[in-house]
Amino acid sequence: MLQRIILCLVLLSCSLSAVGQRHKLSGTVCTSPDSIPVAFAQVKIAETCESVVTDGRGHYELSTHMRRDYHLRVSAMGYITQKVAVKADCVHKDVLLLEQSYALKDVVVTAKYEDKAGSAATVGQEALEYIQPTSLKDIFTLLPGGKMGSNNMQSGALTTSRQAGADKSTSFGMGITINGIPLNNDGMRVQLSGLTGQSAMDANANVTVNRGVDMRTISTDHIETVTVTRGISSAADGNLSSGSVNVRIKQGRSPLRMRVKFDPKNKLFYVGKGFSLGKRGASVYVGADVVNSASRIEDRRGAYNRITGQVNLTQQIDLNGTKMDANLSASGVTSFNNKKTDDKTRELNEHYSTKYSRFMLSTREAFYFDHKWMDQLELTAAVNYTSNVLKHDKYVMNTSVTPAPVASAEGEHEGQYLPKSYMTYYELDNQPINSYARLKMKKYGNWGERFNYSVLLGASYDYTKNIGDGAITDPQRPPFPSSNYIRPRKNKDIPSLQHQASFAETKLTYKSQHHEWNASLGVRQVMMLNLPKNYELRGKLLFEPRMNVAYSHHSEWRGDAVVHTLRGGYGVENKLPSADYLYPDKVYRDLIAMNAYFTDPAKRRLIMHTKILDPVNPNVRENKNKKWEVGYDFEFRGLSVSLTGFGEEMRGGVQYFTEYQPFRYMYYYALKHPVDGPPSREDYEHEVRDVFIDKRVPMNSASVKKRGVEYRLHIKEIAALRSEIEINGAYYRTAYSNGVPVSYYPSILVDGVMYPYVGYFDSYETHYRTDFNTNVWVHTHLPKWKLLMTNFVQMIWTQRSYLSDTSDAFPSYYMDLNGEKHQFTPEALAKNPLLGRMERTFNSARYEETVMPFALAWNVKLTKEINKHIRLSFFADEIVSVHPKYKNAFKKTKRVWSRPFFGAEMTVSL
Amino acid sequence: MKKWYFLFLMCVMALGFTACSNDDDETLPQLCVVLDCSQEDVDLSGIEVSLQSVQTQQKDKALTDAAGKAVFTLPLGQYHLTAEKKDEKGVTIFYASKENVTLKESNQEVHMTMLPISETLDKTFLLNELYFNCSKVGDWGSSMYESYLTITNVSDKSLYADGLAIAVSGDYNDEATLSGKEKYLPENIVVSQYYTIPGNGSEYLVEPGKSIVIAHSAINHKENVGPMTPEGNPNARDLSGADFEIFVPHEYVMTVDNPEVPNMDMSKSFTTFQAFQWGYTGYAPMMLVRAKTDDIATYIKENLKNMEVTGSGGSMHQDYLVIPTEWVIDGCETAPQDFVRKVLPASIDRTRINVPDANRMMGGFKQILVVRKADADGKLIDTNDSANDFEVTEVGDRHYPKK
Repeated sequence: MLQRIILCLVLLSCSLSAVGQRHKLSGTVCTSPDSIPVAFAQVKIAETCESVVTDGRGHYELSTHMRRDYHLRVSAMGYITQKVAVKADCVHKDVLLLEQSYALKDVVVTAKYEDKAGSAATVGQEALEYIQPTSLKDIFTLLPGGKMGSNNMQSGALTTSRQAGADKSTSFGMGITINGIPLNNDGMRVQLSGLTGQSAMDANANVTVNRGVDMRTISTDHIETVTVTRGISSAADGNLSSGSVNVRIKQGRSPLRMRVKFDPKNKLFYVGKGFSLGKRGASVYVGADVVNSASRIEDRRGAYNRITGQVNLTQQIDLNGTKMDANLSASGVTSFNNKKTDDKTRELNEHYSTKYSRFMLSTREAFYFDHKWMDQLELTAAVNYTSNVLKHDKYVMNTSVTPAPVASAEGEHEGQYLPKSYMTYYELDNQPINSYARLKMKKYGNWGERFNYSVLLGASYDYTKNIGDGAITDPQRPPFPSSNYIRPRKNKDIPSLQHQASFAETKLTYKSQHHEWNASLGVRQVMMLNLPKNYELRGKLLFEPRMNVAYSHHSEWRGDAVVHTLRGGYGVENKLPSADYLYPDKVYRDLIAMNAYFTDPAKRRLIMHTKILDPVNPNVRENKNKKWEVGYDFEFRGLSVSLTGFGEEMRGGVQYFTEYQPFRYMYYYALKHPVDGPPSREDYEHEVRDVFIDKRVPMNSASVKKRGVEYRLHIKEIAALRSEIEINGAYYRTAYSNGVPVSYYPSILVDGVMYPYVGYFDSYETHYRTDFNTNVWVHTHLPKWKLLMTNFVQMIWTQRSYLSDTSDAFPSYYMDLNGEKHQFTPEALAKNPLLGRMERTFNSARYEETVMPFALAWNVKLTKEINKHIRLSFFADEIVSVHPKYKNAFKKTKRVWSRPFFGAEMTVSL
Repeated sequence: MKKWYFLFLMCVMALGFTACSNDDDETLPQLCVVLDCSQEDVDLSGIEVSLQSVQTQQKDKALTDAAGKAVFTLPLGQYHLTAEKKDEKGVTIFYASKENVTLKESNQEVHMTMLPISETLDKTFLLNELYFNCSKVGDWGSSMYESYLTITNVSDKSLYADGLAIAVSGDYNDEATLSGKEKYLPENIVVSQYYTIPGNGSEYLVEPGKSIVIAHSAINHKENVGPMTPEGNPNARDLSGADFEIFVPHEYVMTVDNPEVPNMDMSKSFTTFQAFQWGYTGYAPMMLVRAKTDDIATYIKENLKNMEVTGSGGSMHQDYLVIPTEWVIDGCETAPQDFVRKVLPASIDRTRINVPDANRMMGGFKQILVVRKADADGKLIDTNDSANDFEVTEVGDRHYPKK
């Protein structure tokens, strides 16, 4: 069915290609008032998104099918974006751009919502410069439902999207693209006992796995715009389930800019400049920044330090009349001061270092044709190399004498006792290389005056191979001793991840005097390649239909335009499993068969029985998110009101889930008689023991259901206050649960041996969380004084959470030590009272609701442009902070405590 | 004639020594002591019955016959009677006594019921040394398995420790919230762990004044040689000579079992956890228990109650064991400095002994010992008042190495 849809879209593009006449629009973009040409400004038709870039002389030429009046949106780095009206028959249009200055009236420091059919928000460079972010995550504060962060970058917190609370599936499913190239960390693996599948135990390790890209590694200083789509993403964006963040890197000429930001926790320095390389030739942006973030000055272990660099070369080339925009981009990020110390590491002579580096080289060639089948052909290719290495000389202090696992085969074998303390070493070496290629073509067209369309067709392929050594450790001296041990595989020994995708998307617009329709209809097909034969996803074509439709009604009231828009969307997005989930390492479960720890070391003997467990789950699938949203927008005299209702349902978030299986081994439990040397098996009383052993298997068990309403009210200016006001917020209700039977193995002894049953509970608890907040920004702009002051008040009306009391007390079925499963019935319980020990009861307080009362935080920020070159900012966060006491479900009194936080920033432009 | 008279007299006397009779013999009254036993199937023959005259302090002994009877021919008067059944090692296992039995003119029969020795003595065993605090390894490590306790025989009898048990309170006295365990008081008490000393009843003899040592892990914890402790851990205990160790043999156990030290009998034990847990600051009081049942394993199965796990904030429920308070022969309510409420009933311990500088885990690993005080004669003090009976001290050189 979906293949047919793709075919239809292709045919539609072909059939429509013959329709409509193109005409050319050309002009020059210059600065005002000195009329210097602006090179590499983006000139875009707002209605259809057709765009070109000005050449080195500021000249542009657009070929368009627009037969009605339209708008050009012209933007360039360092200048205020202009939107100019163009008559349908106009063939020449010069545009003047004003240099950004607080002396001007038009300063936009809020997110823009330009996509009529969806709810995507774009944060432009003016807003980016004003909010002074330290990392990409800070931008989310601007969006409805966004909340203030923790003011520092040390905690690599989960990325959230339209939800109350946070979860790993959502964070993992957030798709990030930089200049159209997806960034992911799907090739990362952490397979080491005690750390498997988790970001390293230590939050300071900066090793992230199965939770998406660490946004702290993306500097906002190199960004020209960021578009965040939390609703239905474009079909061109894939391998995501929560939303997309599309970053566009700075390009073109710009003055040398230096930025210094400091506050008690963060220090940031940035320098960057866009150079023009010849009149027609090219421009290059070069920039670098350095960040040091620490909660305390003496905290060398928790400090987060990062350097980023970016080079972005753009060039326009004329290939025998075919215009080509070429872009070559190189970027790097690396951590520094990687050796982390604290009192403990110093005292114990430990060495702990964690180094993160990522380098990306990408190229994008866009060819502009005047062909009836194709207007634009774009080839994108990128190579991305990440090195994430954690090294730890660890001093292990066991709390008692501990057996060491040493076997590499199943069955009984001699073990050894670990020293109570020893120095050991482990390393987590991840070096994923990701290469990506995409080809896409665009066709624009019209059907009469009112109907315009564009068709996008594309295909992509990406290949990820981790060439790191994985976990390196000395099996004789395990860093995290336990009975559950892994003999690690090298990352380079596991298969590469390969994804193939193709997509088709058409954008349709119809506009008459009063009626306007905008629609985006697309479908994406994706398939995982290079999977082992027994994997369910092998050869599986996944289709993701995505659509956004909007109807706008245009009218006038007292000479001003009134626009009402109704919009709706539906889409399916799939996040594919990571290498860590697809290829977990075998687990060696070492049970102690004979534990003869005599006082005389010469007589000691340890026999262990090893069972090798394979946690690979060939049935692991993609995490599918089904999304819908509906919205209403109203615009009148600079007043914008927007209301969006949405729903999301993810049922297949992958997580490590505990599974049990019976296991039988010989247990040597008591010495029969005194011995002179190490005891033999015959010297011991022994018996066959039946136990359950567990393994953690990646399963599509996490379920997240999101519902909510986002609202936004924007007043462009209240003249009396000289202020722009943005009020936004959201009501989110999110339900988190596990969608597979939960197993429960009571950790109790019966007659001196472990309990003989594992219960399976079909019913499971759901954790409901509700948030309702309102953020108010009042941007007071005094052009005369070149001053911009912002009062930001965050009000969290309520935050609620509770656990549903939907878990059964008794299991639905249970497994015995023979591995047989039986229905749990009252009759079975009456016959065997021991089954009753599987009862799971909890205090009723567990299901009580925790209600956090109204909370308020007030931030103030003042930015003053001293002159053309210097801008100074001062901010004070939480100068007023209201966080009343409340009682949690267990009747314990809690209170959120925060301190006022001050900082300053200076930007110098030369 | 005289000859016949003498024969007649001998016959009467013989009858008098072999059976309790009502024959009138004014010069030699007889006292017949008849024994029975609180337990069934106890052989009552050959039991030594002793008596002592209140007036003359003269002592006499006789052995019981197959019917459990012993006959004394005595002057009239008042007597103290005792009967002791000893095992093959000469250790008294059953005991009965009666004081001020008056032998009147006529022959008399006195009945005495033999009870297990432990039930007849005013005091048998007491908790003595309680070492839950453990020690540090350097500044950062902890030696967690070196906790131990000693139990001392304070009677004048050699006693078997077989079947004696230790129990850790399921309620913690540093928890402000009531967890439902207090409702069983005072007749019963909730315990989270119950460990029984093994043995068939006559294996582990403790001489009067001597102690047994129950170690969490009966090894030499000083053997902690590592980069930071090349000479081992001088702060740790050597418990390789302990009498018993508490080894919970679940399949994922990650510590060791000393085969030369018997383990507590897990088939007659119960634990909420998969290892012995006492609480490094002493927030979980310890009790010494003598179960008044022949089948403790069945008792445990039938008296588990599912209730809130202390300290879990109510989110978890698990099985706990409820035992009668009268089973508890000694208890010591140790409490960290942030003592909140009392968890042992007054019949077990009227007060508590505070462990200073012991705020939860942070107060652990300071080598603090709680030990019973002794009087001037060296006798252990037991007034059922821990504040008076115990003191807090450094553990010092107390070690129990293998001999």
